[in-house]
Parts: sequence; structure tokens; C-alpha cells
Amino acid sequence: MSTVTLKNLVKDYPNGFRAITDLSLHLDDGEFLVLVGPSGCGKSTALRMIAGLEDITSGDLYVGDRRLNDVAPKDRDMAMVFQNYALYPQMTVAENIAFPLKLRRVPKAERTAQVLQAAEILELTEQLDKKPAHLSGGQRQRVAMGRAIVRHPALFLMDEPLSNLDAKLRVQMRADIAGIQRELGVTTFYVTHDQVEAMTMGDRVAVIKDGVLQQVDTPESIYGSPDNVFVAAFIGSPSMNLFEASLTGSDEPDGGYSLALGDQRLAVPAEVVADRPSLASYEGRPVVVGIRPEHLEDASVAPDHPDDQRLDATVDVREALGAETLVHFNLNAQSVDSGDPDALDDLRDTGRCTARFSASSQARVSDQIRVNVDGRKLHFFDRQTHLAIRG
Amino acid sequence: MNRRTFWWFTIPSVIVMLALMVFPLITTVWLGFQKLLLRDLNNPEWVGWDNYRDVLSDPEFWAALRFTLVFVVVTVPVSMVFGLAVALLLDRVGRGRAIYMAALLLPFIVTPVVGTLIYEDLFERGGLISWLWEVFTDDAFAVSASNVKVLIVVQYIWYVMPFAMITFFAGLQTLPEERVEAAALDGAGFWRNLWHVTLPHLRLLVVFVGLISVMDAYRVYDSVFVWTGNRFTEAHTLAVYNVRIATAFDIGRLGKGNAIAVITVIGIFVVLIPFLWRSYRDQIAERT
Repeated sequence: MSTVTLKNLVKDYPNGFRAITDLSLHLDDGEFLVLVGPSGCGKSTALRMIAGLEDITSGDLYVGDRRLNDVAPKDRDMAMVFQNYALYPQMTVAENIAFPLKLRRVPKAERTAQVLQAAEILELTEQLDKKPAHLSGGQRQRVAMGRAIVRHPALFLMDEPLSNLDAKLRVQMRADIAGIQRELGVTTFYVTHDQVEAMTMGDRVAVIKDGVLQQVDTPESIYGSPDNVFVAAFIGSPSMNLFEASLTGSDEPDGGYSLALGDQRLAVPAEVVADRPSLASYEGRPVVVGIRPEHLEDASVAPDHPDDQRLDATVDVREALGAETLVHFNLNAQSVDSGDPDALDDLRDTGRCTARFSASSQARVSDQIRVNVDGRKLHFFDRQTHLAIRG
Repeated sequence: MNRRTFWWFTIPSVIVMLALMVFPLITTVWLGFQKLLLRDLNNPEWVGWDNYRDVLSDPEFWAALRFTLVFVVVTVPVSMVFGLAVALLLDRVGRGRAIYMAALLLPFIVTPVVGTLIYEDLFERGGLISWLWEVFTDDAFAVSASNVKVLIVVQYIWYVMPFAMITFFAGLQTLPEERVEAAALDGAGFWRNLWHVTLPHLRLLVVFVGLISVMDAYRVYDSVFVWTGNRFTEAHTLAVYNVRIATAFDIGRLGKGNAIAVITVIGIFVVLIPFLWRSYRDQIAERT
């Protein structure tokens, strides 16, 4: 059984920098876990600690029942795919793939059979006699995959394997890698900064920031109910819109609340309040409210919407993507810094808001429009702790 | 580029090459066929192949050739292996790397004659090694015909090792860390990593250092001359033998000296041809 357990892993560097703080994770046998976070968040460090390329300062690493903290990388039975492929330039594709088997003294006939099988899976049969220098980026990446899969290791480690590929190839390789992993059933620990990869490939996604684990869950749960403001903003593209708003109890008979968002008011449906009893304690106080772009719609496209769940806006930018149209406008409300160092938008506290309208929307730049807000999809966070307000 | 521009750019270097390489080489070949003595430079006399016959029948020439070949065969691989080992160690040094590097380069920086004299001093009466020798064996240490060749070889390795070291060290700095890590995870320990990752990466530098080292060792003069002077002629290399013949006492057989020089040049080509062939083949292979 190749389960993997990380117990309170800590990584301190000699200069005193703590790269990883108390990282605990558990991977089931055959599970594909994606560790995702912005650049410099410590995700590669975590992977390298598992591989044995970085020492573990404290905490425990188990594969099955075996504690691996002090085991040399070559004895950990893990195969790693690197961002820059790390192929051996003097060897052919076949020799590259066979290399780990050769080091394990696998007989030549078996080696050849394994290489051919891997080449078939990865569609590299034509390239077996070529040197890496004569391959495209995508082919090199597949050779690196081949070198990993021939070993039938206990664990695959992948360090941003797709980030050097062009966009189109990345989409294809994303599906290919996920497919191969499912076929082979090898437990996989995959590191990326790309939240799309995280959402599409992982059985579960672990979001990490500044060396601290933020949330681990299925892609759907991470997306649908983020634990904090950072996860909410980091997962999803375009990002969730996050504003400061003050919550006031309403005079309405059904007991709903109302949000003061800048100079506009937005009703919070009673069912939302019923799901979150603790919201009552925020009455009269500012909270962080979040709404994903796809939960905003052009009112002229969907006229059948409660009027108190609408906002007025003036279109600033319109991006027609064909299947949908992104519309940017300003709400006169305070934006919230999610803490994602890669997101420049957060630095301007202009109240910029992005909506994903259906393609039939006729909204043009400078138009005055009404925007439907799907009140049931609102997210609430504590303004101080940035934690989700639930239950 | 038209022809005229082409010539304007190439002529300066063509002139320099003609003056410094082609002309002296032709003169050397021509002088090799003359009887010409140092004390009487104005009366060269054409003697055909006499000088060559003279050289090839001189047992001292064959002794010098034999020692030179042994010298090349021993010093080149040993200094390269040591150089690589020290470069690998230096690559792992974190703090104070610059100090180690400066200290390691010292033998190569010091003028060969001075370096040899310092080294020789260790074996003279009162020198550290001769003193230690006396302490442990009760015999006085003396440089003799039987040990001088070994001393020369050891000293030369000590002197040239930094060249291989610094070149390989530079090469190691360009070795991608990921490749080493990939091999480690693939199951390679130190030796297999060295063989399958590090050495292939340094391959061109190994050829380069080998080529330069072979040429240098084959032509070695100053350190051998300091050790032997006009004593131990059996430990003379080709270059020392050549100078000795050409300048000996007041006779100075310049014609014969030039014949030796021609033979030496031919010899170095013979030694280098495998290297040149190898690097030519590699370049062709790289292109296809």
C-alpha cells in the first residue's frame, strides 16, 4: 500500500527562514493530490523534502508504515518529473527511459520490453532512437514521464512538469498525465502554481501559502466553499470578487439581511442566512463578501430576477470570449487583499469587479447596466481573520 | 561580403601567421638539412639527410623519446584524475571556497622554474623530505639517476593539476542541478552519477584538457632542466635533449638541433591525431 503521510513537516533554512510550517497531509493509495500555491509559497520545497532532496527539519514522512526521513533519495522508491525535464543529453530516448531500470540491474530483455510498453503509452515509439536535443518540449516531457513510469514506483512526484510547455500542449498533457496516472494507479504528489491544473487533475487539492497549508479538499469543495479569503481568490479564473461590506439586519418579514456594498444595497436571501446562523453576530459590522464572476449576470439577459438582488454598474472593459463575455466594472466599495503575491489587481483598492455574462449580453463599454447577483452563491468571510463564516 | 573586404579583414592575421609560424617552420626544415655550428653561423653546408641519420642513430635521442612518452602517459591521466577529484571536492565546499581555490592554484601560478626550485629544495640536504627520509631510514636522501625520473613526474603532476582542476570546476558550475537530482532519484549513487551525469557533461572539457596536457607534457622543458641540468642526461625529455644538442659547449650543432625539432613536431602530430580524430568525429555526430 503506497499511502503517504506527512506529519507536521517543518523546513527551516540556515538563514532562519521557515519555508514550511507544520505541513500535515495524507494521500490514499493511488490518489492524485495537487499542491498548489503562488510562487515562493514553499510548495516545491515540500516536494523536495518528500523526495529527499531537502532535509526535513522536523516532523515525519511515511510511505506506508515506513518512516523515510533519513532514507537516501535513491532508496525511497519515488520517481520524480522535473520542470526542466532533466533528461540525460548523451542518451537516446530509449536509454533515458531505461536508465532507472539499468541502475536496478533489470535484465536487458525485460528493460527493452518495459521501455517499449512505456513508449507505447506515451506515443514515443517513433522517437526511441533520438537524442533529447532533437525532441520538442512536449516530447521531452513525455520522455521524463516514461522514465518515471517504467519504475512502477511507490510514488510519483511532479514539480510543475507542464510550466515550460505552450498553452495548447499544456491542456493536452494535463489530460494525458491525469489519464496515465489513473491507468497506472500510482499515488501522485503534483506541485503547480496553476490553479487550473490543480482543479482539473487532482483527486484532491491542497492550497498552500507562505509555507502554511490553507485547505485540502476535492476541487469542487475548494471551489464551492473556500475556507478563507486567500483560497477563495486563488482558486478560480477570473478570481472571485471580494469586497468589504457591512451587514445590516433587515426589516423584511422573512428575516434576511441586507449588505451595504459601497453606496448600493443588496439583499441577502433568507436561506443563506438560515445556513449560516453565526452570521447574526456580524450584524452591524463589516464583513468580507465574495461573489464569483459566473454568479453575476446581465439583467437584460435574465430579466426574471428579484430586484433587490441587483446592482447598478457602468461597464469599463468588455472581453468577448465567444462562449461568454467578461465584463469589468467598478463598485464603489473597498476591495480586499487576498494575500496572493501574484495577483496585482489586489493592490488597487478600486472596487473593481469582474462578471462572466452569457455571450448574448449586449453590454458595451460605458453602458449603464443592471447586474443580477445570485444571492445564494454569496461567500462571507470575517474581516479580521479572513476565515469563512459558516455554520 | 566581397572578396576585397574579405582580404582586408584576413590579411593582418595571415601576415602574423606567416611571420611567426610558417616562416620559422620552413627555416627549421631547411636548417635541418644543413651542417651549421654555433661557433660558425656564417657557413651553413648542405648535408642532405645526414642530421636525421645522426639523430635516429643516437641512443640518447631514443632514451629522451622513451622518457618523454612515459612522462606523457603518466602525468596526463594522473593530473586529470586528480584535477577532477579536487574539482568535485571544491564544488562541495560552501564557505571559504575562494581561499581553497587560490591555494590550489598556487603551483600553477608560480613560475615553473621557481616552483621546481622550491620543490627541489625539499629533497636537498636540510630539506623537509630529505630530513624525514633520514629520520625514518637512517640514510641520507640523495637525488640520483634512479629516483630523479619519479621526482620529476611527481613534481610535474603537482604543477599541472590545477589546470585540469580549474577547468573541470568551471564545467561543474554549468551542470544542471536537476539532472544530478534526477539521477539520484533514479537510483544512482556517487559513482554512477559521476559516470552517467557528470562526466558526459564534462566530456568536451576532458578532451580539451587532455589535448592541451598532452602537448604541454610532450614539450616539457623548464622543470626537467632545473632537476637535471647537465647531470642525469638519461632523465632528459625531448625538449631538453634538443636544446642540449643545439647549444652544447662551444660546438652547438644547430643543424642537428633543427632536425630534432622537425622530428618532435612530427611526433606531436602522431600523438595528437587520435584526439583530433575523436573530436572531429564528435562534432560530426553532434551535427547529425
